Amino acid sequence: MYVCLCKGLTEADVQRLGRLGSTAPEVLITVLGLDEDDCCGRCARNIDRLVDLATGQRTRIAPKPVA
Amino acid sequence: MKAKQGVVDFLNDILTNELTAINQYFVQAKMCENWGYERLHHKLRDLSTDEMKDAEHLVEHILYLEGVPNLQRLGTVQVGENVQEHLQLALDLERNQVSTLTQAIAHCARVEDFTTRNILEEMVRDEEGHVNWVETQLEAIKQIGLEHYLSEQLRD
Repeated sequence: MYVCLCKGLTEADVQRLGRLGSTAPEVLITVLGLDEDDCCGRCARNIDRLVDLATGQRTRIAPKPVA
Repeated sequence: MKAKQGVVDFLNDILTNELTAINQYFVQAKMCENWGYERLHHKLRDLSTDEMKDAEHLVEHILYLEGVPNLQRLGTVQVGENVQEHLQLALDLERNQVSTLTQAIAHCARVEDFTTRNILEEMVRDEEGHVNWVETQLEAIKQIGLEHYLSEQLRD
């Protein structure tokens, strides 16, 4: 799913950054541009979910597929 | 008419959920249209319209109760990258709304606001219908497989 609509970022984008070493909350916010004017900041409020994605502690934010 | 304690706050919480739902269903509908899933496009667009009618009703009722309808606040619009994710996120949204409505209905009964309670009871029936529709879609995907399900969505 999309984790940030302002920036059009998906779960996969965050995981890719995580693999490249961006896992700290403040690093993710800067690299993804979540502190910029064109981002409403809602996703940054749940930055722990993005950190979990980047570190691989969780593989998805979207609910588990049923099928 | 002056509202009973806490009723307007509940109505505004429900309004926030409705406003979030309008946007979520709308963007999901348009993404489905873009992918060629005409049937889902129409269904999701209708759901968006349903939520808008609910929002209208809520705004009118909040004003009637001399409260201020908060159209500024919006929940997280959850957008999937494919049809299945859209449906799962829709289910999340609807279950959340049903739970808020149920709490609000119980509160209205406690403070003896039966007019609001009636309005909300009608609303929760609609939302439960939406939950049921989404659950049916997910179950169909489980039974016939995603590809079969999607091929049925191409034509209206």
